[in-house]
Amino acid sequence: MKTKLLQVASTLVVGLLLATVPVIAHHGAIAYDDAKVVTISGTVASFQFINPHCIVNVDVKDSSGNMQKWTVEAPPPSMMKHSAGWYRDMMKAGDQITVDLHIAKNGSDVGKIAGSGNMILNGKHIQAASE
Amino acid sequence: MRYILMSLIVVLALLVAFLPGTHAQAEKQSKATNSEPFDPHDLSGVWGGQSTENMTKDEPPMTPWAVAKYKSAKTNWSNPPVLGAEDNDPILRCEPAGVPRIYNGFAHPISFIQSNEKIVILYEADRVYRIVYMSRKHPLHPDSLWYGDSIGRWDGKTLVVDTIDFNDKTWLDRSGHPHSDQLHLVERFTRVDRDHLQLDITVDDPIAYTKPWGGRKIFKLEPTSWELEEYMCDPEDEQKVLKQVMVPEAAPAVPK
Repeated sequence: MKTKLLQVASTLVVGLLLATVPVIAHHGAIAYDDAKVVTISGTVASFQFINPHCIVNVDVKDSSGNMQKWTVEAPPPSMMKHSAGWYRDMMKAGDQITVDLHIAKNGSDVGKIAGSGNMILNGKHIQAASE
Repeated sequence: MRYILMSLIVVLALLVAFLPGTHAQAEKQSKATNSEPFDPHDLSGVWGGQSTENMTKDEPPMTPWAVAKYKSAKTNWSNPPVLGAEDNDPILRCEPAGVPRIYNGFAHPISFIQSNEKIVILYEADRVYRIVYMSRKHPLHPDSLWYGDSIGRWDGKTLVVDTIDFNDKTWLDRSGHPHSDQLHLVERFTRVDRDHLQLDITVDDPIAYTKPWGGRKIFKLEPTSWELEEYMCDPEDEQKVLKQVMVPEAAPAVPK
């Protein structure tokens, strides 16, 4: 019973988180699958705190040990400063990152950060995007 | 029995009152309906929170001239949507967004600087400002401007901004609805409560539309710690980002 309750609670929390995903304004996002959240974990290759979107390049090892080069798109620096407290040198090459993404529909290694999803940088939870 | 029942009710009431979540929720609700006194003519502060959606979900009443122009607009939000190199949205080339496009496709905050003679509207998006002259008429000789010529007046608690003298190079929204140089734009800003600013936009353009149309945007007052940040379009960075994220090959088959 308790397990069942936890499951329901988790589903509700995830549902609420997904419901508050912000719209990224500058260009459309029809290439991304907004209905699905995929989590990637890897090493930051570079962090670009630039307009019109922050970009995090992440090296991710797949289950066969092959390196995948992921490109993670986030809202612009101004939005991330306002709502999520991001700053220019908050990430650097070599940092360990886990982040929830809406990935490209064709399966290429590109994703849009999932607004209120999970994001862990060097073991610390940080706010993923503006709300 | 009655005593036990009463005690149970009191205990439950106390529990509910002191549950952290409940308290936070109540605080949130009180913030959502902030009834603190405010001056409706004071628009100072940073106003954010508006959506990036178009002004209306209804299709604007376009003339054949506008339909032809609209069909040439190719963007993620046009019908059918396009991706990558086909996307001819002018803002992807760092062209000025213009107004009202600056409200329709950007979710950046705005701010106001007020004096008796003029009200300056500051837009974080593209670091744009517009000067609204409060004590003069529009110029006699029309110009051809990206953001037009704006004059304003207070209609009770509403700031009415009247703008003409546009060029015809900008889109009205992110879907690419066009306008001509005859565009007459009226923006009505009303501070409906302490924390919310309502903007009603009317587009009047007899060359592009058979009748006036428009929509509404709602801004919310952000904490005093908020400042307008820099959001500039740098062509080099723009291309760098687009190259990485636009993934044209990711375009799904779009139903016509």
